[in-house]
Amino acid sequence: MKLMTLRQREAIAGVLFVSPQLLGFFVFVLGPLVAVLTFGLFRWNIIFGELDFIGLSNYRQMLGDPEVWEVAVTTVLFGSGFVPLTVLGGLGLAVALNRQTKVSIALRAAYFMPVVISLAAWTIVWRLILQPNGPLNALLELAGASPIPWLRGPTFALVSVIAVQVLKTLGYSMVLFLAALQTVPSELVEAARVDGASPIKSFRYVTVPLIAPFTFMVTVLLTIASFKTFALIHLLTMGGPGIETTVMSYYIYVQGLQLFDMGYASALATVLFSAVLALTVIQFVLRRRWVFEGG
Amino acid sequence: MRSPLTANRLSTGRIALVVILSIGGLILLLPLVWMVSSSLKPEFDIFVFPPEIIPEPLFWDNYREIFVRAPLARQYFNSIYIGVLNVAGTVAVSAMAGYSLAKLRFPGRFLVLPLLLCALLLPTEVIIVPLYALMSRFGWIGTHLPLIVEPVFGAPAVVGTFLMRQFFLSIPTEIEDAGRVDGLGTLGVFLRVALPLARPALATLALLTFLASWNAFLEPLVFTAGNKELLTLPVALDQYTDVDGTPFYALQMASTTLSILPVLMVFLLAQRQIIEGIARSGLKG
Repeated sequence: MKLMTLRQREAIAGVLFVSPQLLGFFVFVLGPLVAVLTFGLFRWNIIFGELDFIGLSNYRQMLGDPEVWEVAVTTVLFGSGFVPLTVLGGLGLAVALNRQTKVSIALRAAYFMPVVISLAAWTIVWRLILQPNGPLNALLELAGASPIPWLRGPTFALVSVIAVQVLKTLGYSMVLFLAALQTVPSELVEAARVDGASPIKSFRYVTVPLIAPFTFMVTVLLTIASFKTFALIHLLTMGGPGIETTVMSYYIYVQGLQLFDMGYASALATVLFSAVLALTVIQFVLRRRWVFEGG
Repeated sequence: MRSPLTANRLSTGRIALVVILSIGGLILLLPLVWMVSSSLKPEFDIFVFPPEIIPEPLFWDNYREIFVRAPLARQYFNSIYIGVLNVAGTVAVSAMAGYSLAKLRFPGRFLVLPLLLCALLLPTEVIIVPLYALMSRFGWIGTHLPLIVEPVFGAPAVVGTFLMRQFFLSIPTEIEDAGRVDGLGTLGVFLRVALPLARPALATLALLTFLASWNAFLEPLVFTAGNKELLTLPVALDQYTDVDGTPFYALQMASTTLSILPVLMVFLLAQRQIIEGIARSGLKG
């Protein structure tokens, strides 16, 4: 009898304790997500107070607009540059700096430092560095090379945007891989070395399979991060020149909160959300094969 | 054991590697050196050729000018007080939710965590339009409420809840039982036994929360609706421009330096905690 009341009390406390977070999740995450999926079917503008059901018109408009296709391609290009470079770069740094020497500790701090700085500050500094007559081109000129239009040439602009984001994020990826490397028992690597495996081979056949689950998580996290680049694009290029560096997350902002075509922006956001979801599911499916093959 | 020859070869390779990595590290640090250097030059010297790393003489006027041309002191204060409220709120919400999910049995508890973790898969950019509409409905646009309430209860707090849950799972139940034997109820055990033990985890959570709040950009840009008095630092850095929007670089570098300074100091003091916190909350999801 007493036990029952204790149980019940615990259950009540449990629900009460979690409810602020759970309510916040419903109001600020799940609710807005449902709204995005719904209002993609509406013409929606809160400035004019418009809210009309228009079915799939937004999606039809999207498919027929070459600009949207260009934005989609840019988003994919950005991700396929940013994600592999950051995963491999972070793994390389982690392996190279995984020791407790003073030099390694100092270098780790240097690579990690950009992670704690705001993306806005980091981008504003790089905007100066990459100006046509800025310090980077001045260095090129001193070296006898011709200046490069880092932010104005369509191809260069995309490369610059990716590079600035990679440099900002490398330390994050490095830290995650360093944590992963701590889980690899050193006896295993040493055993492989005693059996005559070269450092590269023991890395390939012992370390890589053992950290595969972590590599998977890092890839998922960075894939999602590759869609969170608003400050970078807004401050570095404003999506330009033309729309060459406009990625989907920035385009949603422009359509929804600058032009206040909020229904259309919701439809775009639905597409972006579906892409994130599909990529995550694909990665989870690939994970099975990946991790088993390796292990 | 290793022959002297291979040991030698390894160390040569190691030295080459360290040199390359040091150059890489310099590439990451140089922009910040350049930021400080440019903040100490008059605007017309920003693009002088050949570039000067240490300006002669040091031009400190920019650091006065940034406070004259814009309400930067007010914006600095905004960033600080919003950060503090974010920390206080998130610590409370996440510690309670994390404790509940780790230690308390209630129906449906196994569904809650996976549901919450979905928030981490969702870029804010996807839901920013309805979030704006919601805040506008609440009448909160042009106030700081969205910058405090949304992170404390919404997606950013989920990271904290997860972090705290992992920590509370590691506390042996016997310690709490001892508290219960002493006559404490659930709330008492949480406040008097679990929370004091969680001090290191709470400190990490506080650090990460403050950083996230200090560095946020999209939300303050959208929710402050262009009111300069309401801006936080990351959004304020871009305010120093001429009428065409061409940046005053010297002023931007000076304000950016001031905005980064506290973060770098915290980083130098609490590097290990920040790194461990990020590794823990990032990986075990």
